[in-house]
Amino acid sequence: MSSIFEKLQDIPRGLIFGLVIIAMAYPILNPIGLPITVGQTSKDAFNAVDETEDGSFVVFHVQYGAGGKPTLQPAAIAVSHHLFQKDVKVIYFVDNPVDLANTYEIFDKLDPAKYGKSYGEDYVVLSLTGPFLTQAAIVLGNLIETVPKDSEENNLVDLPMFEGYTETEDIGLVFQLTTSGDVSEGWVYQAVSRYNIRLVGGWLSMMTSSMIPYYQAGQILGFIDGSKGAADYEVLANHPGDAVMITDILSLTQLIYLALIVVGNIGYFGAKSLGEGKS
Amino acid sequence: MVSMDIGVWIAAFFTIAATSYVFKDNRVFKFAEHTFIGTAAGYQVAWNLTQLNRIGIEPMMNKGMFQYVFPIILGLTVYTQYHKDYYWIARYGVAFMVGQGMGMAMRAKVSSDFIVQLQATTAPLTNINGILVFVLVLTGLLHFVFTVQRVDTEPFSTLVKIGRYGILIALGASFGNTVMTRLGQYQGRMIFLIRDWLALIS
Repeated sequence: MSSIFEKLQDIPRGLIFGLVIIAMAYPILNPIGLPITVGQTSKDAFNAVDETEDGSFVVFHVQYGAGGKPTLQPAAIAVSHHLFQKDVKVIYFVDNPVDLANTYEIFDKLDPAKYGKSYGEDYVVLSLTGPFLTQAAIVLGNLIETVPKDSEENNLVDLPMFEGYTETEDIGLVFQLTTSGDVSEGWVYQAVSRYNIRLVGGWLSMMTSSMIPYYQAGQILGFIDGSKGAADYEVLANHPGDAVMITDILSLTQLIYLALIVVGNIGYFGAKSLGEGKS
Repeated sequence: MVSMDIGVWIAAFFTIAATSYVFKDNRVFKFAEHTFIGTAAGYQVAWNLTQLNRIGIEPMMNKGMFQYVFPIILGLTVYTQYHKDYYWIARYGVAFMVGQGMGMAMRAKVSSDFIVQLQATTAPLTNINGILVFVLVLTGLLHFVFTVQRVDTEPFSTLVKIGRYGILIALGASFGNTVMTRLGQYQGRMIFLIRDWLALIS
């Protein structure tokens, strides 16, 4: 007959996920309102956007699909609020149909007209396909010739925002929100190393450990670290949204996970001390 | 009041169907999985054909940019791999793509991933972070040096052990971040179910 310690090592996964789902639902229904301490990387990302020269172009790569949407869409909305408060022209750039829908959802949520911004004069949506490094090289260095039309089939040269556009020299910042390691590193290769354009990023938390060397080396000016980073940016941009709500949930669910890790270890070491540990 | 939008109901059904897998594999989950894969594949095919038309065929027809015929032919050669007699032709298209990708990457990769990272690692050791990076990079690299004999004896063994602990700490941090990412991804769906579908909060 198995002891209590062995049972602690074999908690049914249905029970674990049930607990996690309750921990997720509770703060949505009853917000706890835990304070958010804005991280340095988010502040750096915000400052980099803030310091972008008036009149310059910002390339905003929306690349998180359906899987990364809960994490990065709130960040995209917060960053767009910030960009539309400034006198910059934004090129939204997507490479798949889901992100095209995500981008138009951003406009639905924040209503660019409220900021006096209009399509074709202050922002545009471009769609491309193919290997990412080639796409990045096209967008930064040879846009008008290679991609003559935007995603709404307008000729780029006919849009007021591209009047006098001189490609690379006019781009003041690249802001990437991505769930792909190849894309996040690819922007460092193309924007920073090849074209010497300022770069800010945002990605899933699990990508941070591989991307942080670029930030520490100064190649990336700042970044949004998953849901927590998105919440930071919402606070900084003064537009609290879904990400702020998610941080409450994150805190509670992380506590559940910590408690389960402790319980599992008690089971393991307890069983081992009784000589009934699993091989 | 519960949403009356049919789109929201469909999204809620597929969210719950996909989540049901955490309790047990079942037919509803399979249905959701196959529907998602089929829809995504269909969208992607349509998207790629649209882009081929916009960026390749249309400029060729309307602006006489006939140089685009070469990449289009190279792209089409990739499909010959499905024919047992002509599969070798696909190598030309693949070779071009690999060569072009390598050229694009290598041009900047040496600078971004090697020179600048090396400079950052050997920056003045004026704070604890800088010292930690410097020590753990060296000892971490030493952990993977297999050509030195007697690496299990002092002083190598202590340095290798430091490197190993550094790697384990990094992996632990990475795992913690992965857990947070996965939770964050599902939290968005929980908010959707409670707010947009059930309308329990505004």
